[in-house]
Amino acid sequence: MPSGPWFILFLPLVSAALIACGLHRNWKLSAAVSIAAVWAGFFITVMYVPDALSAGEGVLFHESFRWAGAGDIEFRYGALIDGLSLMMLLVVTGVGGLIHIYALGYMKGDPGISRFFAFLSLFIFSMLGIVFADNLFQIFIHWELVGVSSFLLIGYYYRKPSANDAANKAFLTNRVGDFGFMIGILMAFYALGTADFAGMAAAMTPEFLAQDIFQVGGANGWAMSGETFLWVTGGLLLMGVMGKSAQFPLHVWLPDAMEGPTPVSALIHAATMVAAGVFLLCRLFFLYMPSETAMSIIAHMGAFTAFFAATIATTQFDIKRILAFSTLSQLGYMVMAVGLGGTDAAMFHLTTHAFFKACLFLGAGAVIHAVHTNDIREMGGLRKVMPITFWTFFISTLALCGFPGLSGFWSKDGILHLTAHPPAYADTFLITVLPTVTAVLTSYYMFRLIFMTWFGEARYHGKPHEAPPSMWSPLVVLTGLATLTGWSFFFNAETMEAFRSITRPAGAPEPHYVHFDMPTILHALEIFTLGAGAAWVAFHKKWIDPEKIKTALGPIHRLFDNRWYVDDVYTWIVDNIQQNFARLCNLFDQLVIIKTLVNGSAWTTRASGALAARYQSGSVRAYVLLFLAGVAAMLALNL
Amino acid sequence: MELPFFFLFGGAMVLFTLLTMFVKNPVHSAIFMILSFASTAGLFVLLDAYLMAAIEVLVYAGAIMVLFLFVIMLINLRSDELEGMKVNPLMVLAAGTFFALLHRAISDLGAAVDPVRANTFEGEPKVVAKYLFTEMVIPFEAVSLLLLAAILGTVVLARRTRDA
Amino acid sequence: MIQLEHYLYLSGLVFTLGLCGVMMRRNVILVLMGVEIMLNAANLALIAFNKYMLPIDGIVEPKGQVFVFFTIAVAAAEVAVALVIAVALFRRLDTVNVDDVANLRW
Repeated sequence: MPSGPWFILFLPLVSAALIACGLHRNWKLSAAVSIAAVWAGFFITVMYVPDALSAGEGVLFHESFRWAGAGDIEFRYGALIDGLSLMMLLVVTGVGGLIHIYALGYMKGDPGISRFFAFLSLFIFSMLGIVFADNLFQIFIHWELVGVSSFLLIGYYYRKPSANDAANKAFLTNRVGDFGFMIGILMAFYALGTADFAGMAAAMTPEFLAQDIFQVGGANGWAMSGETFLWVTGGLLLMGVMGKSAQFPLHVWLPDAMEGPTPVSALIHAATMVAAGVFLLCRLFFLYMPSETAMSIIAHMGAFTAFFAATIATTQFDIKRILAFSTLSQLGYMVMAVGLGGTDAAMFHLTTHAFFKACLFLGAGAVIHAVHTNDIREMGGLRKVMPITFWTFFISTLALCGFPGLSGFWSKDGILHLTAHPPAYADTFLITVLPTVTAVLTSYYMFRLIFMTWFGEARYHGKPHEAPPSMWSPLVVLTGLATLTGWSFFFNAETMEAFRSITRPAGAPEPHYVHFDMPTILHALEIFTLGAGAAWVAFHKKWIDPEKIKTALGPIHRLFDNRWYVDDVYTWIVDNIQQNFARLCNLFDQLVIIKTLVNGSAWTTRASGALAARYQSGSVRAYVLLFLAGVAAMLALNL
Repeated sequence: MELPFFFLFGGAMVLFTLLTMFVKNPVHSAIFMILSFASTAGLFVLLDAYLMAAIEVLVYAGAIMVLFLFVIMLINLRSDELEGMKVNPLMVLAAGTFFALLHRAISDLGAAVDPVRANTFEGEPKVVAKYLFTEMVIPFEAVSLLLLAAILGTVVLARRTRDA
Repeated sequence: MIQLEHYLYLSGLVFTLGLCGVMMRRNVILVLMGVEIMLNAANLALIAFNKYMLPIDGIVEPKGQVFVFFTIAVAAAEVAVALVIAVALFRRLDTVNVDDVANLRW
């Protein structure tokens, strides 16, 4: 009898298989099975929560079985639940469950709805595999599986060329990251002798790190010191994180991924899959912590991504793209927090972000559903038409902007607090100043979105209506979560203590506590007012014409509007360097492989055949003579 | 004691083989060939291979020669088509070279035989048959399959097709 | 005293004579007879080897004789098939002269 956690993991897979094998004829049954699978997982997960709060950092459940092996190498497939994975499980199954219900309303009437739910179930299974994994190989397998699910879901509207392109872009960009990720896994496996997290942590003794790890060419040859090994391996593993969590410079796929259905954007590209990178960083924290170089890389990459994405978000007009860039920015915050040693802060922000960002995406989905456009210039004044959606959207925005009292305030200020007192390796402008600027920008672009979508005169076409209950009820639940998460910490210090301890890997530095005191609140309010006020002045009161700001900023605005030209640089690289390289390869293929090797061997065969055919004279006598010559030759050779 | 018999049978074998190869008439050739095989059977007896001597006579004289004679009669060559051996110097040279190689091979016999003293084994039917049906039973069955295949092949080839 | 070499030279001589027949006779029947002679010469060598082999663990197995048994069986099969081919050849081309048959070319 397999125990509970295995059910969490495999029920969605069973659901996907069932839908694929025949349930898809009946879309209601398909949806019901899919929703039931994820909610069953959620309830089993909840049963572990009391244990987690009392057990603290310990492992709550760990089983694994031999999956494959060769010689001494063994690949295991495991289910590991500790505080970190439990937190992630709650987010994946909880938010996932709500989004499943929302999807029921959003996708209703779509001809491929059964397929959609099958893909969602497959995604949930893949994602849970990452969360449960107790070794790097399992993580890698599921890493690729979520990549596939993401590909399938982004390209869900497969008749739309842009959706197919976006799916390919996401997949290919992730391949780049996964390439480094795989090399990193192999390096770690080679050096540490195991891919098991506990085993890896145990193998990383100070003596191990003091010696040379990769020795090539004897005593005078090239060798890699323990310190170098750590940050090189960590950096390669970080490439996987960059791809999956869309960190600069591999972020380009995420905004395009918004071509998928909105529930997918909410579930995969805001709440769960993109957070897998942050989760992995926390899992591998023991690997990064001893290396200041690695930690510094992570922190700076995150800080830059946060700022970079926020600047782009200020210029976009597609509602889902704004949210996508906002997601990039918030992921940057989380990655930066890990780099600064605050895994608990990162996980906390991951959780709250999952709530309010999922709510924002779902709200955006409701709006899109109502007005049939993504462009915020064709919205406006929707506040009166869709009140429930508006209020949930508004509160979630406040939470995202870190308005005091809402969940984003607790989590974001936890991170900003880290940046205010950075470790020595991260004491740079990028860490100390930019995150605060980013927070201001966050308020600005979010309220720009709010004012353009919900306030002002109506610019929409048709007759929009409030979303159906199946769509707004998850919004309400998520808004509730976005509001209340954090307050429990305020009122109950023990809960906060427990949360912080269970999401902190062994050996991580002591967390910085956020105190709900006046300076913190004032600081948060300053940030909020600055950003929201600017948006209010420009987009609500229209005292300043946004066009004038554009012209005044000139090149800076163009830089932001063109997404810092990253996509253009990639296009240029592909067009000029990669294409030419491909032509070179093609030339080599044509000349050397095809002309010389393939055709050449065919020609050689034919020519030697023609030569040998001359001896096939048809004269039996000649054959006898040749036969005799052969026998004589054999006899002579053996003498 | 054996020596005269060896030269008797051996000389006969060589002589009849030569005649087989050189006479013009195929019927005569067939009869000389049988005489050559009979001489070989005599040599087999000298070598204590009694069963094989019997089989040699039975199979070759009884079966194979009859077959040859039948075919020769079936084909029924006209007398102007009969011809002897056309000696070709190149072929003779090739055969001579081959015999020289055989001579080299015979002069280097290896350790598994005693070239001077014969062993005491006698090829009584009982002993040979027991060996054949125990140790060699699988090759034996394989040969039976081969014979079956030969029968089928013969029947198929001999059947007159309509256009022939 | 007869030695192994006597038999082997005899066998080799007859074998070479058969070979000459195969190479220099044009009648396909005679070619086949040459082949039979060669096989028979090899049989003589096998029987002789059997008689002169050293006992293994005190036992002489009739390997050579059994080999000859198989050779004779195979020769019988071969002759049957070869002769029927000769007959078929004669029916079709009205000749048994191997120099007139040059169909075996590529």
